[in-house]
Amino acid sequence: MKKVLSMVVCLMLLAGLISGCGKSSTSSDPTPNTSEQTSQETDTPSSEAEPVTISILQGQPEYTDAYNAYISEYKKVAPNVTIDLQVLQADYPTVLKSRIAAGSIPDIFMTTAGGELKAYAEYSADLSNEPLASAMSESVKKDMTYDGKLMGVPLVMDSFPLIYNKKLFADAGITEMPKTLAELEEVCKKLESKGITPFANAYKEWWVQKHIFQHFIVGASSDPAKLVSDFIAGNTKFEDHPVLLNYFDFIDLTVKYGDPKPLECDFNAQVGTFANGKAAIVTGQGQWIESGVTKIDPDFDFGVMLYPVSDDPSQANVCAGSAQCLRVHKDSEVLTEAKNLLNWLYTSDYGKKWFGEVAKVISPVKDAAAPDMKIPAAFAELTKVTPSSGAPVNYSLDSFHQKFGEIMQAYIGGAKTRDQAVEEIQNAWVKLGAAN
Amino acid sequence: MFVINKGVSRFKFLIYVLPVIVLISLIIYVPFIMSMAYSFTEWNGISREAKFIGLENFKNIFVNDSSFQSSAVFTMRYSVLFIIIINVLALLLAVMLDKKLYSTNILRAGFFIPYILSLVIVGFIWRFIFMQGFNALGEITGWNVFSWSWLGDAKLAFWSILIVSIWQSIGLYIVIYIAGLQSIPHELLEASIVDGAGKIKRFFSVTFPLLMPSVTTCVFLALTNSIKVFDVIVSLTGGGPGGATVSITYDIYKEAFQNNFYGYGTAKALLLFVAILVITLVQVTFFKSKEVEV
Repeated sequence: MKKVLSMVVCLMLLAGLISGCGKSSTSSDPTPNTSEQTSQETDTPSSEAEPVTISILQGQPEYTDAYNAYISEYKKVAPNVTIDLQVLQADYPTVLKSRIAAGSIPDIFMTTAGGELKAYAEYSADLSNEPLASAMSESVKKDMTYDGKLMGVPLVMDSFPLIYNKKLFADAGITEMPKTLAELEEVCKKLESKGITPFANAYKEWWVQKHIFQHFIVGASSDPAKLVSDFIAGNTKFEDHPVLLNYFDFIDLTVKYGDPKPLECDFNAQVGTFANGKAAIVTGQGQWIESGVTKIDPDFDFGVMLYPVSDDPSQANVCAGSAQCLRVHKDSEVLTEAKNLLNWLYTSDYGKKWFGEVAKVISPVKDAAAPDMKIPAAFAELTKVTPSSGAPVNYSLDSFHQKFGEIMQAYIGGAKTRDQAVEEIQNAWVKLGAAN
Repeated sequence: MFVINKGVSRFKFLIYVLPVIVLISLIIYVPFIMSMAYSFTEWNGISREAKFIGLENFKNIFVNDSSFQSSAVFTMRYSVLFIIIINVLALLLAVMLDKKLYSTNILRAGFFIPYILSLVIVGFIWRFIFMQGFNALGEITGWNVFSWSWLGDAKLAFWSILIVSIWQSIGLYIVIYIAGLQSIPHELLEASIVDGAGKIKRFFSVTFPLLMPSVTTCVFLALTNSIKVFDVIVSLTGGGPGGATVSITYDIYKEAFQNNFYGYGTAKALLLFVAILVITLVQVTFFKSKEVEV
């Protein structure tokens, strides 16, 4: 008798298990109802609007404090809205993809601008007719548009000048900023004769290369976007653009006058070397290094200059643009609320101040105040004389840039000749440059 | 009332294991087969539809994929060296630690501790040692070894990865070998002493054959772990310099998640799965045939 009983119990357990599985798989629908209670508790009773939750998923952890600041400010404007912000430290694209695959797409998510606009187009809402569109500065808007639709809202504008240590330059008696590659080499010689290492590089990182290379794209063409799309289509070659080949000369120069272990230096080592005054010029970085440097040396005297790209001083240039943008999920249940949030950030008085004062970044909003930081201030001075161009890093996908960085590492390490590197870069551009 | 016959006990057996079979199938096998279906498609991992392209992905892997070839060569070199070095070293250390030394317990713990750490953390620690630590040591000692670019030179980076992964996982292999050594019957060793066998003869003629089950296990573990090497590369070199240290698994990861060729990456993963399956089957059958029964 006992055996029959135990078998029955066993079957019942099994049935329970299976039905349990069934239930959990059908109820995986990501409805944000669960958080209603928490928002009701914290809300003031004056608001009559339905409580809603907007989920945001993004990278750029360096600005987490700033994000939280605008979120608590928005609570005052729209008390019925709860914002569920998730900022990822690393591996952002993988997480986003798995969230999409699982069907739990965040209401607002971040992607890179330019190339990735197309890849995620079927999930993005068109923001062209929103108030924020008219507030966005024109040069940024161009990089956020795909198929005539505005799909991204950047929070940060990056600038990519050559940053140098003013004090070391003064010690070496350098007063004129170099605008050609020959002048740059002169500067290096002067620095070296004073016992100063000219360059701090971070060639262990693949993304440094793309930041440097974009200036050569700008130097090579008056229409960088077209040049890049020609390369992606396979319609043009490096040999047609001598300025692009100068890029290899520039890299050779930075390696010659740089750290003896060029491929071992990562971003942190580079910033450390620069901040401690062991090297005079930082390559491939931008305004984001400022906080890292001033943590080591609070009185650091930053200077910025154009990238010399050839022997023609008029081709020297500097890039600035937005590499990351927020996007609104098209089929989100809180589509209007999500749009309102971004509109508020771009058009309200607080929002306009937020970029410069809280996030301390150069604002993608028209006529917003510049932040109280040394590199952006110096950059504003610099671009008064030579206006910045867009950021061609946005025109190709990062899949290409990673391959590009890898090829350049092999070139620096001597495993590939210049011709091999050029050949492989061209092939990679065709294969990986655009979303398929 | 009930006569226990074969049919009922088999039925009972099935009932007892059914929940586990159902769960494992639902969680592991069904998703595995579902994901393998993507290897016949062109899919970027993002869009809602995947395009069926038949065997095109597999053709591309073998015809025009230089990164797959170079990563396969890297993985093979790495696996062979890893399996040989770690097994020889672990066996040596196990024989030493099997002796009744004063410090045996401390040493055993010391060798095992790195294995508890996550490989990612180990990678970051060693990155610091290779970059900053070696610089400082070089300044103090003036030795040339420390001024080499251990992570920046393609050849040295390979050895750096090998050294770090052996350093991290050797503890596990030592433990398995020690357990094997301790299970060898004493009377056999004593008998060989009586027969006049020296230390070396005793090891190769008595100890080692009786240790074969442990060797099978260790080689098997080393084989699967080394073919799947991933995290130590990501945290130590990121596949650099210039793609010189990209393993097959890292290549698959890059293809699927960085280049957005999800279908293509899955095809590579399927190939890797088949390769591991075949290699380990051959290895285990071969080593099992060498084992002796006491």
